[in-house]
Order: sequence, then structure tokens, then C-alpha cells
Amino acid sequence: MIVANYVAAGCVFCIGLFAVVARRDLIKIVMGLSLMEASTYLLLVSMAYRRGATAPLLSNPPSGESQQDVVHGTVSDPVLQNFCLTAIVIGIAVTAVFLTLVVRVAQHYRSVDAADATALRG
Amino acid sequence: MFWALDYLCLLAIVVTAALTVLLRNLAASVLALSTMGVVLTASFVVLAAPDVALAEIVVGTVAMPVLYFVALGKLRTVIRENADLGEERGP
Repeated sequence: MIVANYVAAGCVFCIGLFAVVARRDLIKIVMGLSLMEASTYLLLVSMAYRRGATAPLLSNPPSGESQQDVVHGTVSDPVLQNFCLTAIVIGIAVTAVFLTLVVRVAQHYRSVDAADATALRG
Repeated sequence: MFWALDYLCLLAIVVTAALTVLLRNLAASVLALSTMGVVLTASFVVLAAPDVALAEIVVGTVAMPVLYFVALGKLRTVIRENADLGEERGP
């Protein structure tokens, strides 16, 4: 059942959300955001999969199938897979920006504890 | 066979994600995150997405741990003077 993939993606998302909300170490918070991104990749690729599908390489149809079979869904959905590819590239850039911020905050406050970053506290 | 591989990958993904959050040692946590990248790559191959798997193995297994380890090394650098930071005012 492909639904198991959706459930697993939801579980990983919840684990990442727990890390963001409950942990105080700033590095752990960034790791939680990375986990949430990873759950998004799993969800997108699972949604792209079709039963018994092959990879979407459309130069020639797979053996025993015509071009019409390919169009009507014996390959997995390439659009969602390209969304996932874009999400991976954006995800690594976002992680780099967050880690730079964490390093600057840690150098400024001499601490990686989120409770010590008090400049914007109301 | 397909579903056995799929469920195995899903189990490993969830376990490594939990390890990433629960481990105390930050370096071990980064390695757990990297391991999750490897298992996610295997899962993408199983789910018929080889191009995404290629991108994920470069990003999730090589680039991401390098970024985290560089950040951890920067955090452990000793800063004696606030003037070294190049900021206008100290904390």
C-alpha cells in the first residue's frame, strides 16, 4: 500500500516538528527543519509513483509497451519528481542560510541555546 | 518484493529520523541525518525516481553533513574579543 509512504512521511514531519518546537539547541532546530524537508521529498516521490510504473525516461518506450501505454501511465509522474528535485536544491540552500545564522547568533551571544537569544524578546 | 523493500526503507527512514532528534551527541546526530539521506536515496530508487535519487545522494549524503560539520567547527571556535566579530556593538 502506497499509503504507508504517506504515513511515514507524516511521521518524519512530526518528528522534525517536535525537534523544532521542543529542542533548545539551535543546531537541533535546524536539523528538525531538514527532517521536515526530507519528509516533503518522500511525500512528493510517493505521490508520483504509480502501480507497476517504471522511471520516466521517455526516449524509447519500455519493451512490450507502446508510446500510448507510456502516455497513459506506465511510468511514474515526472512533474512531481521535478518538484521534488527543485525542493532538494532549495532545501540545501535554506539549510546553509540557517546554519550561517546559527553561527552568527552563537558568536554574538556566546551560546547555542535558543533561550539565550533575547534581543527580540517582548 | 517491491513492497518489502519499500517498507524496509520506510522503517529505516523513521528510525534514523528519530535517532537524529534523540541522540545527545551533535556529530552523531549529523551522521544519523546523513544515514537518512542514504536510505531516502534507496527509497527513491525503489519508487522509480532515479534522477531524484542522484540529486539526493549528492545533497543529502555529502553536502548536508559537510555544512553541518563546518557549522559545528565554527561554533567551537574561541572568540576572545567582540571586536573580532566585526560588529559595531557587543552584546
